[in-house]
Amino acid sequence: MDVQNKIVGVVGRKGSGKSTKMREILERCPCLFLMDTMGEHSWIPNRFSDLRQAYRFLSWASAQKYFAGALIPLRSLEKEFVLLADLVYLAGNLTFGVEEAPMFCQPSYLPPQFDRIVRLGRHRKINLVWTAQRMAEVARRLTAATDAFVLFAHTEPRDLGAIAERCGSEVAEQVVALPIHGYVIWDALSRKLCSGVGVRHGYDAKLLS
Amino acid sequence: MATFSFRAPERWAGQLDSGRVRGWLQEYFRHPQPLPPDPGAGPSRLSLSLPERAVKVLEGLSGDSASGALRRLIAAHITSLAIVSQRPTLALSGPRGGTELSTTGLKRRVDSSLLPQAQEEPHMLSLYPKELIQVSRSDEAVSPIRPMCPVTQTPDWSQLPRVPPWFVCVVVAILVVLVWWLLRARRQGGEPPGSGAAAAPFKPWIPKV
Repeated sequence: MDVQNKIVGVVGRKGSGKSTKMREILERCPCLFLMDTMGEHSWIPNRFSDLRQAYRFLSWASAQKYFAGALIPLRSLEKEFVLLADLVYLAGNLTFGVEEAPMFCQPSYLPPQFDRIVRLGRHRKINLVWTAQRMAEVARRLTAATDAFVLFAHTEPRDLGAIAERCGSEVAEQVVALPIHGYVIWDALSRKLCSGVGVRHGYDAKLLS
Repeated sequence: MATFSFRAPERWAGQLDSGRVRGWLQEYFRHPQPLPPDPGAGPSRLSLSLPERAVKVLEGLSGDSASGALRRLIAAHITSLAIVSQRPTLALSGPRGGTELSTTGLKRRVDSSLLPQAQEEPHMLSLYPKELIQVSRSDEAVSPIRPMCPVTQTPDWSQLPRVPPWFVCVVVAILVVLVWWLLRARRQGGEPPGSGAAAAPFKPWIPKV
């Protein structure tokens, strides 16, 4: 099967290491733009709080081989995210990171602009990396399109049920037993489960490859 | 018009009339000359119909009484009276009575070749001298006289407050910086997308391998 893009989800409680893991994934991306909801990713060189600046950056980046930028929303999260999703889709050929995806969607709802990236991003060569604290809060349309899950420790029954529903009961059992910073990687395409207790291994590097 | 009666030398009797004296008054105001000393009151008595205001001005300029000033004015012209037998006179204003001497001057025809420049001037004579009367050292009787009306003087520009040069330099520097900042802000805001590829305003990105 020809994989035109990859969608990776990083799910875990606060303080479990989601942002750190997301950074490990995105640092290897040649072209990336991040919706930095919490403003945690200071390692990204070009950070903007104005959509017009982000638009100028993406216009400049279209002629660049490598680029990395982030938008830190200051006003309306949903409005700015929707506009950014449009910009990202128009730009194409990049990795789009979304911190705390449930802030912009509901279990049964995705903003149309973001939904377009999820469904049609492969035509624009847009990879997607998203994070969430609870699997149950993530839109089903997004989880259904996700190719790989990085799952940290979960204890909430509803979240474990959602993990079991999407990834299988075996994965849910592994997730329950994880330590505080431990995680497992579930590849939905190859249906392969890998585990790593905060240790980088070869599989991590191939998440978006 | 008013009637001025004063004593005069006997030799003046029969030689003067109001119109002639009015002409001498006009001539004097146009070209003020130092007046000879007062010949003194004599046995004769003269009554002349003259503009009251002109006599008052002559009185102020000469520093004498009206009688003395008129005697001095007449004394300055009486010597030429015998030479010029038909000297024309100019009426200062319309006749309003007075002595028969005044009406004689008004009815006399005026020879245009002998008329002074005042022929085209309006009937009402300007009673204020246009020039300062310079004090002649040879004539001690003529006291220095200040002009009756203030002469329009140009303001002394050197007395005006001057702006220090350093203040001008500071203001110019501020204006230059302000204009530069406005142009820069406008250029950044209106710069078309993609045009900044030549001069990259964004930081580079090197992904981890």
